Amino acid sequence: MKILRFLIVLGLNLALIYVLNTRMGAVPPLGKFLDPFSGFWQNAETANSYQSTQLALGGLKSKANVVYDSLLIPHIFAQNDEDIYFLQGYVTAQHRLWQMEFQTYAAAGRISEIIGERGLDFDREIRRRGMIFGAKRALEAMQKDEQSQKMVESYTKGVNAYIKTLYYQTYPVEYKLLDYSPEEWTVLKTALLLKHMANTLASGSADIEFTNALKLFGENYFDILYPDMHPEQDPIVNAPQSWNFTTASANNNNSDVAFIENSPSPAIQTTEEGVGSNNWAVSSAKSASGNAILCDDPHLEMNLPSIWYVMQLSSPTVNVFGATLPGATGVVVGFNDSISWGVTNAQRDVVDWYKVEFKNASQAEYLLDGNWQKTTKEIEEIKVRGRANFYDTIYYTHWGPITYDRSFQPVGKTEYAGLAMRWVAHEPSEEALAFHKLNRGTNYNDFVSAISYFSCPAQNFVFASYKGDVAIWIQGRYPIKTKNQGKFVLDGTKSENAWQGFIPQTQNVHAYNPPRGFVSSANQHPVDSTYPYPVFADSYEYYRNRRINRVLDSLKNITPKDLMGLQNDNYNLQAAESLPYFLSLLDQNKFGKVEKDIYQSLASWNLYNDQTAIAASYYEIWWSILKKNLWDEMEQRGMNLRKPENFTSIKILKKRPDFAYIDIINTPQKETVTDLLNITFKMAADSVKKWQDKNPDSNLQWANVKASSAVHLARLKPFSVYNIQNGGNRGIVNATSSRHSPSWRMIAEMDKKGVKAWGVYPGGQSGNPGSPYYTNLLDYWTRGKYYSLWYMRSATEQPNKVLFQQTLQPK
Amino acid sequence: MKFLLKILSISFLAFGLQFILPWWAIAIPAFVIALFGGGAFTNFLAGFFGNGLAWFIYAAYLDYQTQSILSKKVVLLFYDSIKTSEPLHLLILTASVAGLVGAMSALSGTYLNKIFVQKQDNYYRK
Repeated sequence: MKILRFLIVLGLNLALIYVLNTRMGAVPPLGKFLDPFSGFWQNAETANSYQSTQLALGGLKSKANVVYDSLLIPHIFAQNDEDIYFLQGYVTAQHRLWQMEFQTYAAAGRISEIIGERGLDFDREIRRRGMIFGAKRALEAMQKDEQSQKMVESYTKGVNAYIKTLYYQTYPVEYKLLDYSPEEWTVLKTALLLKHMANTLASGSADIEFTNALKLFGENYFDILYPDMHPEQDPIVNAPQSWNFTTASANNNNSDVAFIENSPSPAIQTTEEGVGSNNWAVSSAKSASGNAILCDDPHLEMNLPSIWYVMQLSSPTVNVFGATLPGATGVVVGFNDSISWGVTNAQRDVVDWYKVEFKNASQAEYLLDGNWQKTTKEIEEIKVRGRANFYDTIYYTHWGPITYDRSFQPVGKTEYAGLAMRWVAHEPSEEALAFHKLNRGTNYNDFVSAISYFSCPAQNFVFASYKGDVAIWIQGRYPIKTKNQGKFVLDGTKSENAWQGFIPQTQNVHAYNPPRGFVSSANQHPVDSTYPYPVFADSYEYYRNRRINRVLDSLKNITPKDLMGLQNDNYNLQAAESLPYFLSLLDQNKFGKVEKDIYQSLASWNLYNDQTAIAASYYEIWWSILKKNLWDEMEQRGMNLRKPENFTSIKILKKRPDFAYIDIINTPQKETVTDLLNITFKMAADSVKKWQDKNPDSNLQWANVKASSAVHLARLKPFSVYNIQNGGNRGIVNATSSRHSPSWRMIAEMDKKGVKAWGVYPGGQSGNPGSPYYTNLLDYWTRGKYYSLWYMRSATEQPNKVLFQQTLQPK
Repeated sequence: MKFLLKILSISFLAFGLQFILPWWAIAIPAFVIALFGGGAFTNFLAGFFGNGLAWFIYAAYLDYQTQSILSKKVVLLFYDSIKTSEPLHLLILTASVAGLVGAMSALSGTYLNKIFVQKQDNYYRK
């Protein structure tokens, strides 16, 4: 009896320990996790946690030094390039390991391994887009080049040297919370990370939406709704008739549109609204000091840990400072003593979809020029946490992988059809080498030759040098297309619909020291209409670029301070071009109290979306309701359609008051523009009242209504920051919308006596939510302030600015 | 007095063992100490407070050192929604988890002990 009693209690005891050692749903293993000796408590840090150390590292070739400044920016001093990349990997992993690994899980379609079944659709789509396929081809190219191979291998060794030192107590807190362990870093992961950027910036295409629109609305309406370029646009390079080179033009002009019966709705948002960027460089002639000044602020999703990790890399061949991508080699946006560079997304359409006809449901053969061609099959094993593995078959055609087919969002009920993806990111490429060379560049020619290695995601590279030169290149690998090719889904049964090669790199759009004294880009059209190649993209920006160019045109004797002001400029050009017209059509006799207040506020608004501006909230609320009702036809069709650009929408409201879609289809009468504006104004007033009722403790100032947030990558609320008090919006130079924002504001003045630079980003250098450096830069960023960046000339410079140092030697 | 001594020895041993063994090692001291005798209820409490104390003190020390920088975030994960965070709740939860393991282990130890020392008990009662 007593034995039984003992055994029962012992059993319960062991069961308790087992339960506390096991993850239950979203609850981490409580015993392991809460243990103060090894659990999450160990991840809490103070500034004092960072103490100088001496380390011996296996894999390091020579002695090296890592000096951390007061912002926790590491300055790496090594004696050769292999050690530079080894230490870039080692140091980045020390501060950002969980993030860099998580991002490569996402890029490889492995999220289900961590979060379980709810990641499965995402993972399938990532794999069906050929992300791993593309990364493997990029890796092959890297391994063919001795320099690239050394770089990625050294980096990989460095990351692994750090991972090897880890045990449960020292794991980043996310591993403890989600209960898994870091795995070994590989060169493929670095390749995947570059594809991850390509997927974020250059995988968007509206082919499917546009094909639906063409079928529904017809060609005439299509061109009004989605014109290639409005004449008011200010392209990045506006040099009509200067493009005098022999073009490598397309041999034939075929691009047959293939209509699809049921269009797939992607699990992944393909074009993220709010992703974009600004950059510009003013030449010595325009600046007060006579030095060229370069500015860049890439707009990306506002996440934590921050997308960028800032560092300085110094060896006998290089001394470069700037923003790096955790997981990738080299500095992506930055400067050295001679040159500086920055990027914005080039937008160009580098993805096309081909409708493929299969012989039968086995998808073993597809039709091409009247013959049956074989597909190749790849079976993808997707590990799903807490469930059996999922196996997905991906069929590859000569076009590319079949992303959508009957097993993944069927595209046709009766026909055996699939959509194949043709994407530049599937081509072999050498982006890592581009940054390696760029980091070491000393003049314009070095810059041009370095970026020629860069294919995807296509970027507008802006350049400035200590000699006062400025330049811009719309750099990427661009397929040669016929006029409308790639706007719509293409007929994949004819080989003549294929891309006709690629535009020779030297013929890419560029400008060097243009007469106006500056270069700039903000995701608008790259070039005037006389450029001999079509430059279609499903979305080009219309407002930020014109504002930037106007301000830069009007300024003389420009100082870095002026440009800090411009990066944080909240002027709402869209409102300036639409609000007076909107207000003029309102019938003030019908106003109630609230409507009257809103009208007054809007009529006296200075048109700046400042954080405290209440009128900005009124305008933005009204505009979103107005746009929804203007294009209500598109929401009711039950298929994927893209709403026209804001610029196009406003132009239609102003210039085509009789346009058919202005009518609100849910009402019996036919609305005019005046009706639409009055009705939506009333709706906006109601929405304002509702917002106020819901948020009684908050006022309607723009920052509260917009409620920008920086969200942790695993969507963990306590590790995120909400309601960031900043102005702006997408379409405004300070492009801070609710979830996207300028992710790294950098200004570099190319002083002949030594570069001076300023920078800030919405986050912090540490990826650890338990570190004081996790979001410490956010406050300056929010207030439009900058940190002066410390470009060190030697490892022993000004030790009083040093937080701590790591003195390293080979093991 | 004896009770207090029990708590402190469990606490002390649990603390020491944790530097060389994983978290579940805190089951051992409570179990072993209970083997030396004592009533089920007393041992249960000694196990609970002994282990709870070890974890509470160390966690509280770390939390004080780091000004609750992480605990005030992590505690929110255990609430239904974001509200004013109270790191003390997390300290109590931490101590309770260790305490529960200690209490159950002490109980197991006590019952194992009772299997062998039955006669002596009977002798005393007569």
